[in-house]
Amino acid sequence: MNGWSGTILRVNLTTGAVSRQATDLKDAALYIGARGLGDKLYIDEVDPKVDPLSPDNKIVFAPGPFSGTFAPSGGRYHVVTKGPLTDAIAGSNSGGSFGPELHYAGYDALIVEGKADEPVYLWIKDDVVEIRKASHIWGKWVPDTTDLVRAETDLEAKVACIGPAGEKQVLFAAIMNEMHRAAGRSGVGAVMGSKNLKAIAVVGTKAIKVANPKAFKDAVLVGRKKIKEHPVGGAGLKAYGTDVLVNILNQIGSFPTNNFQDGYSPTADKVGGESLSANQLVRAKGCFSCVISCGRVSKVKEPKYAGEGEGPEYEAAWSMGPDCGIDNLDAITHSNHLCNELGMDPISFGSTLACAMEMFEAGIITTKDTDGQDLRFGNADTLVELTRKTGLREGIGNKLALGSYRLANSYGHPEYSMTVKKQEMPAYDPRGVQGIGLQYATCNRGGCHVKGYTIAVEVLGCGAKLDPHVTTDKPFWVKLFQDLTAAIDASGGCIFGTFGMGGENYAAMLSALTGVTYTPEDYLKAGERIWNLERMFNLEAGLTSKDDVLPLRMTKLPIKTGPSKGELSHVPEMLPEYYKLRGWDEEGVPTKERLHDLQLA
Amino acid sequence: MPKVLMIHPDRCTGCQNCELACSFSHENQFRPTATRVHVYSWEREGFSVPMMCQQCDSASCMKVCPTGALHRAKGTTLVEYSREKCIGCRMCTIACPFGNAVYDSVTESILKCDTCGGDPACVQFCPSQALEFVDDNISTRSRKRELAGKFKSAFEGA
Amino acid sequence: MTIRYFADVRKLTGCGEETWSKAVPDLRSLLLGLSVQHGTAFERRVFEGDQLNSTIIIFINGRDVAHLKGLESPLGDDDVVAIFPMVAGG
Repeated sequence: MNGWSGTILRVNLTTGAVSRQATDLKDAALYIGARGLGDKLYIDEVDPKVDPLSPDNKIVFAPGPFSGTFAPSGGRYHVVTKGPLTDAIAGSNSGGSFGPELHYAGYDALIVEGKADEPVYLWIKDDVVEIRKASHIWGKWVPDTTDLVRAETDLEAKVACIGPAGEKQVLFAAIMNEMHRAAGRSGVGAVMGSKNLKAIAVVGTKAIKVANPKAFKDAVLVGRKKIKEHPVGGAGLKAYGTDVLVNILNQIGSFPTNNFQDGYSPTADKVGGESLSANQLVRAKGCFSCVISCGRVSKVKEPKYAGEGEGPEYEAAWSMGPDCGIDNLDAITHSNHLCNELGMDPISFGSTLACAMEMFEAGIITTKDTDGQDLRFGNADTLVELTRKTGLREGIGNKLALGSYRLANSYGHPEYSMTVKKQEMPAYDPRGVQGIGLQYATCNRGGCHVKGYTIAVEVLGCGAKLDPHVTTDKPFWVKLFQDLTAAIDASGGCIFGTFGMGGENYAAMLSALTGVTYTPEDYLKAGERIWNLERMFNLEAGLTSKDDVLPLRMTKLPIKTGPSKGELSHVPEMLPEYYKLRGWDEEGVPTKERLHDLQLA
Repeated sequence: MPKVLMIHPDRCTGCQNCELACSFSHENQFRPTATRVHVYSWEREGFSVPMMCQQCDSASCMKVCPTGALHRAKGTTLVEYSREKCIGCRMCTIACPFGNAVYDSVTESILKCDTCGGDPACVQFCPSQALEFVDDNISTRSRKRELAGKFKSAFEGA
Repeated sequence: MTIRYFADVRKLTGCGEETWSKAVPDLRSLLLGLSVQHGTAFERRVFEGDQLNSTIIIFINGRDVAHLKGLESPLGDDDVVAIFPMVAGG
């Protein structure tokens, strides 16, 4: 078999049973792998109404066919489950090298079900799979967990694990791999914690076969060249990291500040990529098979916030920075290191803190609730202290650990939560950038930018130059980005590869690798199929078109200052056209015709 | 002018493209244990180093090889491996002070860098120029020049 | 007029922000004037022949000049011009 390995591994933590099944090749061809195949396996087996933190939930870890080959920046894997933060389908994507190693071990997916009586970790070495005791590691932070597990298994093992945040079921806990890479959003780490699964260690030695080696190599060389010649993929991301976006978004006035109360910060430059490169950056880092190297190895020398690790990315620098009114990049970088070490999503954490800060300034949360901690916007010490407390669920951190929706709701003021489907919106103000607002509203996993990154055309001018303030054609572009991203996610590719490559490059590589012919249209259609499969799951889980909305503030409170002053989001006006393009009815339900066309019914 | 594979660990991003290129160029598939170059990464410090056969002038592997399977043609830099002479004793894997010769049970042979016949695949695939195939004296000079530059900065500052 | 530079453009100008006091009718004139001040490396970075370099993004008061009048976009004394290389996503 080429590309795919042909085997799916299943571990039942309740019974201790380890079993294997053959990968259904028809499904593999239709859903490709990683996100797609992971979705298919998960959705076929799990009741959409399942409680995400119950033993009845399952969690799937799946590499793509690219993962472990030299498809450029093609070494990713996907975690699929139901998100405890969102009560919707959760799909978190991570780089590093864990995914390729799982593929080398001979698996297209690992399905974990049930719950262990006591903390355990999985040790997978090709065909040998052990469930080992992990009580002595429970409580350890991510770096120590990684080292301890490797010491007991193999020094070169790749380890995916949870930190205290996942163990304590912080609703936005992440699953970390290679210490600093994250399957970050929607609380997938909490699902692992709810199963008493502390870590998965893998060593793989099997070969990934290639159907047409010459054609694959040629397609890869074409893809690499395109990325190298692209200003973003070829140089920009390596030099400055994603954090260079701070100044860009700020200069167009769509950089959300103080919990989305405004869209512009006069001191944003202090937390941008230029500052990071000058002050905290040690060197660039790349994930497995990556040619872009956007990763930031970082170190803070300021004694108060000293430490080393990776990041911050744009999203983290924003959420724990100007979204909380903070512009101290040392403090932000330190908090980012803490988020990685504790194993939690900095986007949801920062935005939840921002929500708490706004409620504190409004007198809704008081110092009585916070054990005397001052939660006003701008307090960098509070940021660092509460990062730790939230990961450990101590004091007010225990409430922050629920995410901003449940936090604000518990005080009777859900309107302070900047979430969609209970997941915090990322660092692009939907009032100033219309298309990304539609992406936030319609993304299957809630407030998310990365699954439909129209910023590339609305702000960055990559491939097309769209006016961010207008709604014209945005539904078309949002659907296109969502579908293409789903196919790339399913292949095991990093979406930064699109700074250079297009659908035709991905389709050519996938065809040569697997021996299954994908035209660019087939490739995009696979993405659309995956999108609709996820949508159907969400509808059966109880979500409706009423959940395809932004927080009221986005359509009612105009941006106050800066270049996008006065702008509001127009998502409700774009939604009907979006549903129509998707082949859904007015309630956002996929029609039988569209499902049939996608081979979903 | 003989060429050498020059390693610049400070440029290495830990991406392992070199390993992938190596295994693919030898076997047309991606088998992690087939690579002759290995990248070691330290996550806490964010540092990575690619390691492969150094083609030592006074190669320990050649000295211990009982059959001459590991040998060097006069006037060349490459320590060559002739599979047909190899008896699989693995003495070379013990003797190499760097651990750069490994025994592969799948192909039942010794794996060590062969510079891909003079056009190393790892060099072609490294995205960061952390691996270069350069004339022997230029590569030596560039490292000296870099360090000499530090003296220049030190004296300029005084 | 305030001119702001970002990412590697800063290396070509040696600063992140400066004030431009000479009156210029449009963006093209401004960029030509800045090129005289900052040198040929800057000129080659922002121009591609007589067009705006395709890897440069310029905002005037937060609006991408591609949605205004490109190099012919008019400029006034109170305008803020931001010059970015195309650098990133994420």
